[in-house]
Amino acid sequence: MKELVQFLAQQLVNNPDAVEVKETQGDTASVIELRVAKEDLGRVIGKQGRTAKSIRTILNAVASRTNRKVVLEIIEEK
Amino acid sequence: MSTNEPIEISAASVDEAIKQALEQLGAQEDDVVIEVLATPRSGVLGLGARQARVRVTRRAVATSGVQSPPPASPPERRERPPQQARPEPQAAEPADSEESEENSQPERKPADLEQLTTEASAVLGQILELMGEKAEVVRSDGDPDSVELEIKGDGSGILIGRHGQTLDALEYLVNRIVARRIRDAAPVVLETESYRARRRQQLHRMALSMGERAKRDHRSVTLDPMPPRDRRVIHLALKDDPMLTTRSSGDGFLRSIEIVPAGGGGSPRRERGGEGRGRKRERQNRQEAVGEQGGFKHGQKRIV
Repeated sequence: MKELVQFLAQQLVNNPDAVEVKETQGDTASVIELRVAKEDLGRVIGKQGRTAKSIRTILNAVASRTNRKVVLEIIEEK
Repeated sequence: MSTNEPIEISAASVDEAIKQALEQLGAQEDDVVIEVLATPRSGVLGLGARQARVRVTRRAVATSGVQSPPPASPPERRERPPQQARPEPQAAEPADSEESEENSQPERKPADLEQLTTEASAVLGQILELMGEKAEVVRSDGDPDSVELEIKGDGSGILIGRHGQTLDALEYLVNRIVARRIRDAAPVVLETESYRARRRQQLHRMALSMGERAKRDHRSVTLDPMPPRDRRVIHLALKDDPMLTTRSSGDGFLRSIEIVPAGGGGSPRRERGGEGRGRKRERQNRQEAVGEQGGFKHGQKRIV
């Protein structure tokens, strides 16, 4: 799952090397934290959040196979 | 790629408006000139309220030389409203071989579509693999002027999702990624388990039955909001019926079709036609509908 987010993010940004993904597994849910270069934030969020929404949709499709939930957090650095 | 056309954005706060504008332009704050046209005012009970409005203009020569993207990923294509004229090629952008073609290319060459198919299949294949799906991607035969990729999976419906949302998400991301690699790429359509075909048939049938209802009741029928692809099916289904016209109104994901019988219908009536696309929205619609007829009892004619 982490690799999936990593791949998608790297394909979408201008600075693939700055993409960082961290996954925390819980009992029934996982939290995936995504960090990208500041200038790329808009590229992983998309207009009206459409890109972020699409990534979340795909993650939850994968997770539904094992009856789990995934939360994708896009982290904005200060 | 970028233009120096100013864009104007309204939002609740000045910061928010600037943020949206920058996102739309894909620019950094340093690359643009920002003019604040109006500061927000909250007003009383919605009276005298005002949104913030900013005009953002990209500086003539952006710093794109400095932050030039890696060769594999050309700058993101920006979606613009059609009326905003095609982006002019920008001198500062690293020269792109297709640049000159862009303006004189209303039609796509088969070679482009082949390249597009290859790229899109590769991206999609990788996504599916990372999703842990055992699936094969093939280009559907049929229309040689467009690219439709079919995912042959395990038939579990997991790639379709509720109302096709997973398939739509995959399609959106594949297109997004491919558009970064190929300039001016034609949209790629994804299909699996005949979902899109079934959906088209279903919409077609619904269009016909709602059309009948409009004719029978002599009043126009407004369908639930639908995405462009679905609306197109409705328009096409009814275009040859001389007794009906169809028109769309509303913006973005709230855009919906109204089917109007010849001679004009009465006041539009909301129908549970298309698939419910989010309960909140439906409620909104209903409220609007009620607002429209406000004060009139059922069956009473409205004098306009």
